[in-house]
Amino acid sequence: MEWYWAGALLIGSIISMMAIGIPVAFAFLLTNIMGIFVFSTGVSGLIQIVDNSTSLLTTFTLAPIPMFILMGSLFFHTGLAIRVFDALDKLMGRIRGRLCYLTVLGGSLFSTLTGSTMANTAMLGSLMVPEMQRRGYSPHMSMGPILGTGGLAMIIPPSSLGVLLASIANIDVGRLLIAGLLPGVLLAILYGIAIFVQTRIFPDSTPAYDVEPSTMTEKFLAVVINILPMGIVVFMVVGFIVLGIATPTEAAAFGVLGVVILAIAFRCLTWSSIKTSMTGTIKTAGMVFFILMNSTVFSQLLALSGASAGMLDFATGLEVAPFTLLAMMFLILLALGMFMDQVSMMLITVPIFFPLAQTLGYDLIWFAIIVLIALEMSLTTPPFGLLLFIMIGVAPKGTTLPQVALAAAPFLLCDAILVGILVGAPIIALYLPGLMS
Amino acid sequence: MQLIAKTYGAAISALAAIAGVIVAAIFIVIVVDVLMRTAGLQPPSWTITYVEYGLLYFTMCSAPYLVRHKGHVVIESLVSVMPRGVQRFFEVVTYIACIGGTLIFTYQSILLLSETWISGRIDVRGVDIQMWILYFPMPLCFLIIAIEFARYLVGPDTIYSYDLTDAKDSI
Repeated sequence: MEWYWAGALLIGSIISMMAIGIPVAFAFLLTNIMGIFVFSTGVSGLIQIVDNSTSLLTTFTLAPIPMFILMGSLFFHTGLAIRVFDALDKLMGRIRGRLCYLTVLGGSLFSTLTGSTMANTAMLGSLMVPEMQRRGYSPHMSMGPILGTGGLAMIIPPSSLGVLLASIANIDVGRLLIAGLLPGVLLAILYGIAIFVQTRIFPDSTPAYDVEPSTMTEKFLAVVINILPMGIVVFMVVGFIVLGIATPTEAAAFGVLGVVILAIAFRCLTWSSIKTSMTGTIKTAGMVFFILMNSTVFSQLLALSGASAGMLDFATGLEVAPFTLLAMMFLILLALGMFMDQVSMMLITVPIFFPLAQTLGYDLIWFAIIVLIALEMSLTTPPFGLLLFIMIGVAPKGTTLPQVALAAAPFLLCDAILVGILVGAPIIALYLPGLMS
Repeated sequence: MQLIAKTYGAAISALAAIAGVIVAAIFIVIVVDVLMRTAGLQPPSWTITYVEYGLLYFTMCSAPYLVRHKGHVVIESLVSVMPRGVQRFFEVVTYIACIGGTLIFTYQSILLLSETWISGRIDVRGVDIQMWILYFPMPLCFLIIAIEFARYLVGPDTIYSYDLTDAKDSI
């Protein structure tokens, strides 16, 4: 079978199954079974699928995923996140659009303590949208910053999706996590600029309101009591990896330990918060890992059928600049994200895109950051970006998809600007990994 | 019959609880390993192997719970706009396909388990471990997943919410 038919059959069957509502993990599982019959030894090859499905899962580098999810869940469910938010609120003066800035600042900080985009967006949405509505913020100014900032968790370490991408693409987990730090901070700054510009163009969209002034002592105490300890936890995760003190798995476990100690210190670690956090971890990590079970076999089938090599030869044979191929890969990810979840997108594209990026001479850590930004953008790309629908769920009744998509547009533009900056100056992503021992 | 259903439901919850214990144990094992190393003591040689096997057991033990509690990611953007009759048709197709796929996995994992049990094959990792331990949870967990999809097929419940604004747990 020609490589393009093989690729179309494998990728097409997954997309078709997902489209008719077969759960993602089972769409991969069923495609693998079908693929074994078409491209391998048929019935006798079935045992190989089951055997190989254990290989990626039993990898030590995947262990940070449940740890990061548990850390983020404990951070939210113990109430530590609210304490940080309240402290940040005290620090904000009476500036126009303060709640938008607070969203970006709080969301960026949350991103360093939770690797989950969904959790970050849900938290910010439920916390900020009602308050912004109460203060008379326009829908686009209340939803936009949340949609933008929610996705920061995908880039700023610790990113669960980053760990997953590194594991599937077989690149260094620690270096990828750290590589996301500077681009993530830069993106947060770009979001701040976008808010500033919007508040100047539409001054009525963020009405100013009186804020109870806080004394310097109150502000100092808020920082020392509520923000600084979280900084220590962040250091236990990010700093340990950069300094080479711990592997990402070990740093993740110490991140959990840090949050547990803080929750005990603030007397907010309850049995209920532990149970809720653990249930969330089982659901999220279990779901991701079950999808991952089938990823090794799917990659092998792409290789066995000749689809991977064929696509690679085809792409490298095109007489276009490497940048054009990069742009094409980026656009494919955005297009897939319009109707597909991030994990599936990675499983389908990584076996093809990463060898291609390597052939083109790109640094794979840098390329992975570009992929993560594309994944982040695709979450807010209409018509089916997942975050758009989550936002409709928490937004005032009657909010439409075009309204939400329009609110996200300036922040998508910031993402695109960041990609442009990273293409022009890859060092922004590669500087910190270069410092790692 | 009610007793069987209750016991079966409790078994799914117990498997999920085991998954939770595994995560907690992974956390403790890693922390203890690092602390021992920092203190100049010899950490256990089985840490990495335990974590690797733990991840597989965690996945298998949580899988039936996920199916029962609709925790698997389903792309509903297309099916949610279909007429109810077409939705029901694709639902039935989905359940039958998933039952078929998981039963194949159940059978094949039984073959793997028995083959590794009889041959006594060793999985060479940080510590050597009997290979059958790797496949031990698979037949039971895949069988329960198949039963769960069968419950959806014959029962009134559905794995779909048909509500795109319903935020699912994800990363």
